[in-house]
Amino acid sequence: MSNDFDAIVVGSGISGGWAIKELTERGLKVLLVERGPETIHGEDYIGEGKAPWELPYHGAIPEDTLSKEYAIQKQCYALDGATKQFFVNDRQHPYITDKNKPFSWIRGYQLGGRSLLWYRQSYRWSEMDFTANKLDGHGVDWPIRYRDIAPWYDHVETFAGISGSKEGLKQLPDGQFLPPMEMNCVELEVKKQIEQQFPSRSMIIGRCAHLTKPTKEHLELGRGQCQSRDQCERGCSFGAYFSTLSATLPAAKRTKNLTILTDSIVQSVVYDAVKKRASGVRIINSKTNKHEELSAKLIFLCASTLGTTQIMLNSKSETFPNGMANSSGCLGSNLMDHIFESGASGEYPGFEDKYFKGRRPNGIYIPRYHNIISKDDRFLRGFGFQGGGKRPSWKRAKSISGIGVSLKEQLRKPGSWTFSLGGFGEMLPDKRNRVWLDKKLKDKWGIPVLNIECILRENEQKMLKVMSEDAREMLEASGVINVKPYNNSAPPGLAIHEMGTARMGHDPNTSVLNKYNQAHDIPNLFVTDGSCMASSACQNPSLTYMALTARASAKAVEMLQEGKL
Amino acid sequence: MKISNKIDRKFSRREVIKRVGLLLGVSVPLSQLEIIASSFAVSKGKNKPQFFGNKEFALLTQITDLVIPRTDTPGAIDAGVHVFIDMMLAQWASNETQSKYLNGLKGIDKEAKLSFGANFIECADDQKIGLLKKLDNMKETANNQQQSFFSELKWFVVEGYYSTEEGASIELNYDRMPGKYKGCLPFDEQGRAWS
Repeated sequence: MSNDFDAIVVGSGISGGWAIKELTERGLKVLLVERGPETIHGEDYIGEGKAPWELPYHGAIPEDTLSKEYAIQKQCYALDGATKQFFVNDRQHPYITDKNKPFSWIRGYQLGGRSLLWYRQSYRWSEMDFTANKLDGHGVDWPIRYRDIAPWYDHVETFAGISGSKEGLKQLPDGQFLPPMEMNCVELEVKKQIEQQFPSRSMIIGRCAHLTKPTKEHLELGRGQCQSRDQCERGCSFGAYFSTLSATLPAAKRTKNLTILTDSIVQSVVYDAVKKRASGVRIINSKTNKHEELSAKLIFLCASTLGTTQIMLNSKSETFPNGMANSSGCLGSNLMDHIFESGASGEYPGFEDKYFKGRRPNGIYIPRYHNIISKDDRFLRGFGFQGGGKRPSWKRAKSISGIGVSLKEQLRKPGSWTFSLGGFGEMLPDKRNRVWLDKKLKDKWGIPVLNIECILRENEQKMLKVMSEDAREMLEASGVINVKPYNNSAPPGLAIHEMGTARMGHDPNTSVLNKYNQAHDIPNLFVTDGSCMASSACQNPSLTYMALTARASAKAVEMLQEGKL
Repeated sequence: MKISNKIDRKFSRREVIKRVGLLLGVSVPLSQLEIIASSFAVSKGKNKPQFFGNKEFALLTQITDLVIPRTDTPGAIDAGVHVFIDMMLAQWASNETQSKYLNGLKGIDKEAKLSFGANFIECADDQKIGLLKKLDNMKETANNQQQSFFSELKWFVVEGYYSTEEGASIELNYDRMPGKYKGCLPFDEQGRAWS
């Protein structure tokens, strides 16, 4: 392969997709390196649009395959027979945890990465989120504030297509929205009740990366309107939800500045001690095991939080014996996820004559309300709720008795309305939550596997408890009956919002990256995936990764052109 | 008798229901179930069960039919759910699940012998229904093995049925490409649940 690239981008998920788009559109010759196979938009969505009876085993994965090949991935709601090609085989991609400290690392190794699988909720962070570390002393201060990222939120929202409603909430800034999706009758009623009885709280329709009304820019990329199938994780040939394959990849391709290398695992980044720059990457062809070194002026690591961290830890040199750009020693530390699996659900009496049409790939959202105006003594920071109202389908048969004609007649009608709220809460950065390379165990390509140690601590436990209490309280106050609170404490990782192991900060002694996602130690190395996060807030993070990546890409090109790299 | 193969794609769902209803009448007496079961190719050696023996398959077929019978729409047998379950146990299930189903069906026969002195399939219709209803009454004694097996088997039938074309699109409404989501419509516009 020719080595004539301005930039190498490692990883093709949400962050990598944005990096290739922004870099190629600014005229750079870019090589995209993806460890997984090529995935063709549309053609490779083999489960798309299929009814259950058109899928092998009605869409179920054979039990032995599930327990042997997908022992971890099976915890993810999105894994089934129609999507399993987008998830890693756990047996082929091991990592190590203490058995009492499980961490669920959910991964998709293919062109497009997990941008094919994400749940598409898209929320801005607010000023409060960027100042939180400084105010309570957990983690290091973010080197940016809301005003630094706001124009980049505008930029990525406009291109990606985010559907949502303008609400004027300080803790959840409005953005460039496509029309919001509809709430159903019960959601409208519960919204009214919650907002009346808890004046500091609001319930809004979820903001999500779906084209409710495509713009000219979307249409030109071959994208179309959302069809409310709610099978997004199978892939969508309408390109109605944002993914690398539907949006950023075609945008980068049309510049003619992009070269794609799939089935290529980045083993490490090469460091040139004379020039004090990253000079390229060492790659291993996953099929042939062939090793190769490729060079470029600029390296963007977007291989996902733990993927990028693994590459950096494995990039050892005389200058960086503990991993590349790790003079601070904090590479691998401060792993965070969101805490969830705590909330409540119940039944909503009435509206029996009302029903919905379509499977809305979105729910409602209750933005954070704790620790905003007044301080809550029980825990630091806060959480939001996702949820919604629905009428259960025949699947409720699992918990009702009856057989024969009466069962069939009962299931011909939808069940009574139900309403549920599930919290997503902020996890504090803590250096004890960390990853490191194993000294013995290597994967089949000879790369040391990761050890992961991450547990929920006092603040998280307290927050989880309040989540389910608050959810119960709000539902009961809104007329929901038979409310059942729950607090199941999911293993960390399972929110699939892992982040923080190569954090941004002002100080090179306590952080890996500066305010432009540029390594403090190595000017031409940029890290823009979730590993850059100095705190987790409680909002779904992908939109922020997009904005940070676009911002860093623009800055990197500027610095390159100024000869600063 | 497998209706799924006979549905003419040119007909709308409503017409299919009408046709099926005309063909079959509203409900099929239980005495005809054995005829349906045996005519369902088992004896013809065509769709020979992949996993179960003929005796067990006949029992499974009966139970499948009692859980979701034919009414004005196809039942679970019409939709081939017994064949589906047999295939799933042969190809999808782990060894553990396979043994559970073999033992579970034996258990139901044992229960029938205890209560009525005959194998399940030889019992009178009301005895069969009574026995399954007893097993279905999960809440009463939740740790009884037969009961927990039956609730699993019942779910297999239900899930199997509503995931077939008959269950999903004739008994219920199936919306492959809904278009815009509508949150609040009169139920009467649909008349049936979405599958």
